[in-house]
Amino acid sequence: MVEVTITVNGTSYTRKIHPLMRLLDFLRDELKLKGTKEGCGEGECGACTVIMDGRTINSCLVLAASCDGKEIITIEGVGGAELHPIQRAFLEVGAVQCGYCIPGMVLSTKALLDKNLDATEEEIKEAISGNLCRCTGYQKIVEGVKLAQTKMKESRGEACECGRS
Amino acid sequence: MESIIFHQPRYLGEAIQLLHETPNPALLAGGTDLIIDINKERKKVETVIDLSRIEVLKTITVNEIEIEIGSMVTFANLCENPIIKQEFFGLFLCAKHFAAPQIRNMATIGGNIINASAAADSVPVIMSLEGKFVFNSVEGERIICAVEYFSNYEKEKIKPHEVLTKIKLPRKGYLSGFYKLGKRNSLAIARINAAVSLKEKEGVVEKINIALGAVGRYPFRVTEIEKICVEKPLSYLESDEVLIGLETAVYESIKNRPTMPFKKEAVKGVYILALQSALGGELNG
Amino acid sequence: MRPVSAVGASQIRPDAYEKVTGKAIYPDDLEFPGMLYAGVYRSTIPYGRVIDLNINEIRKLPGVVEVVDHTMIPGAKKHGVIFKDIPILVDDVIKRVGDCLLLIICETKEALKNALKQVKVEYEEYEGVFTIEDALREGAPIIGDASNVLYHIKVQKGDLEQGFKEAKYIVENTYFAQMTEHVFLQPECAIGKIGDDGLIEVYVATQYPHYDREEVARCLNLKDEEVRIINTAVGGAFGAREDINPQCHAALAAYITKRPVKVLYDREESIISHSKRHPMKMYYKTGVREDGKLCAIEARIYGDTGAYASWGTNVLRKSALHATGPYVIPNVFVEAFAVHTNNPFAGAMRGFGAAQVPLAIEAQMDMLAEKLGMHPLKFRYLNCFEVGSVTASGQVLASGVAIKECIEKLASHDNLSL
Repeated sequence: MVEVTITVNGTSYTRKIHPLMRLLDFLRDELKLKGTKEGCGEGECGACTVIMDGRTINSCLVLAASCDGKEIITIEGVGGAELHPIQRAFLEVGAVQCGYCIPGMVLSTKALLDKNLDATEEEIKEAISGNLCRCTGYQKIVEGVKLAQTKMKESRGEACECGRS
Repeated sequence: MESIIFHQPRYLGEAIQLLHETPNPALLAGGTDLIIDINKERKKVETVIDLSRIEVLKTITVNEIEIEIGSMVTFANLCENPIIKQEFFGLFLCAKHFAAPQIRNMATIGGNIINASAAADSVPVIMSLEGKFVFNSVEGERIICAVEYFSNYEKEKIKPHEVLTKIKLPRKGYLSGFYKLGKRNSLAIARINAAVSLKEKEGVVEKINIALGAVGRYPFRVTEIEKICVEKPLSYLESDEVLIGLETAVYESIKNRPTMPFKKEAVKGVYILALQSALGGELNG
Repeated sequence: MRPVSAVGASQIRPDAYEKVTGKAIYPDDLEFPGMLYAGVYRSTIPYGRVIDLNINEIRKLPGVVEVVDHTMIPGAKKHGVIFKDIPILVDDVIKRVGDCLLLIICETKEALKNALKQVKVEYEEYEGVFTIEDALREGAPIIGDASNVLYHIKVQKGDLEQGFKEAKYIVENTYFAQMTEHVFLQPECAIGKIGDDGLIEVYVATQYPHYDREEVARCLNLKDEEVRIINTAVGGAFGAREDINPQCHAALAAYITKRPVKVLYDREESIISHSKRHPMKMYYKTGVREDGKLCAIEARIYGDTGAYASWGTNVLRKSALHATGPYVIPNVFVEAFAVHTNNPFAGAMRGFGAAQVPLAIEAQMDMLAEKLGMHPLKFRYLNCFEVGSVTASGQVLASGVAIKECIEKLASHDNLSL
């Protein structure tokens, strides 16, 4: 067993775990954070996507033991009492069908827009290229990301105005 | 579950010492292959040495004559490095089109090399750029050029007590390019890949290196074809002589494989796209 | 009538809120106190029998609670949406790779993984059939009930011979459509447990909870009212969650152990276990008159329905009914066959038999248009259904036929006069 301390959604967790436990199992089984999904177990589908230190990763391909000291954001850490603009946008355009890919899609979108709010359609498609969706054909998801850009820009604008007043 | 020993050394010296002392260690780089193998029980491990904490392996350093890429540099890091984009465009393209963002953020250049897949994307690029691998162990340092490593793989392959620490690429000012033919844009395993590095003066080829991947057990350079291109005009690089040469090279390499008829044709287009990306910037989709 | 505000306005799906926040519950997200883990050992051969299984050795492995074979099923040993032919646990002949042989129930996921690895089976293997041609050969082993032809339908209209006599051009070809896998994103999972009121409960992502209830009740020899199916969020289905898959196993394991039991597949097991889109072989002969009007069509459509019936009858019926495409053809002879082989069984998948035949009929249309020297869109416009048309099966299309409008729109994009 190895001891790890991992910060997940702002809370630090210390656990003694099997050294070969995947980060995905750490999140789901140890922390009971069930929003992160397993679709393929080999990095093909992106359902288990989380953000680690600002970058998306497949949590099925990372050992929790390697994440000691890292900061992880899962779907449970996106939005709060109110939905994050990305979540709101996905709702409004109808980007959600079965929903199984959505936590990963939201996190891939967040990682993109946190770095580049002006991402082009090409860059959006690239950013979600590691996330498979079998229901939508992706069109609505891309529309959702674009709407999220608008919403995030608007709220940034509001934030600036507040700053001035 | 059996007890597994997990080491996460902070320093290279510590890792080398562990490698020296541990029988059959599994070296964990980006993990995008090893973790699947462990989880599906295709690989049995007793001791894992996780290299992800060793800062020196995660750096890219440049001096006058060469660039040194740490073995734990990820494909995302490669994409983001301005010198790689400027001077080693083929490697930039290879990294940019590698798998998908989540994999690029974890997978390392060292892992890609050591896995020694026939379709490893970075290997043809490194071969075409005359790259060398640096291995370290308690016995010291071993430097070997990429072409030699794979052409004599059984003898030269990484030893159980060694760790790949660096990839050295000479700064020769080559124009370089890369193209991968996959079944889809993202997360594709190359059906064929090709890397081209060249130097030209007033439209005449001074030097060219062409490496092909996924058309044999390991990637290789087509030196016979390279030789006949020297001192020819650039237009010669797309001539029938060169294309037929490539077709022959692929035929000879995989003549008994069912994919041979397809690959001996497809290699021509893949090479031309790699060449064009070297000469004219990105055409790589 | 009172105007309905929802009509014509985009609505937010009521389930989407839970899904964007990661709160939606799929079966694997559920845990219950004292929960066990069960899995099935699946056959690695496509056709044969089990001679010996090391069931007693498996029972002794650490963490193994129970190992269940077909003799321990209290009720029906087979299930199926139309014909009850899919074994819950094989009691007779193995008919495909992936048939369920043993149900193993363990304390932990790790113990289950280990136990499944330790199963050793001695098989008596038979020579199976893997192509439609082989299955229809005289003397072929019978994979189905009494015949390898599960289903045969004919659609006839007019006088075929006369129809082809009128033809200026005839094209004749055979087309193949491959097997397709649904790859819904959430692999199968079910949890069986005994509810507080003593009912058998199964938490599962399913397309048909009411069918599942009947099947689970039959398997356990219970009344339907003694079983409760609780449908969780469903992570995609596309037809592949129409047949029972982990439901009976989870219920059986809970019934036997009296504890909650989770059955979870990985992607590989998901692909091995559930239905596929029918691979089809489609022979087509289509005739057109000099004036561009279709005059005759002959088609024979063979669907490889694999080891079990599933929806094979309905899928091939639909193929036959859609074989003529959206076109008026006065003289028709269409036959469709669902044929058993030892391949993975085929059943429902998006389009349900109507997805394969357009490949054939539309390719025929393109070739005929070329022979006529007519624009392919114009050729379709000339022959397509409109209100009042009668289909090959005799259905009168009374309303809502908009294909002409669609073609007109397409043509206007191309500045094509129809």
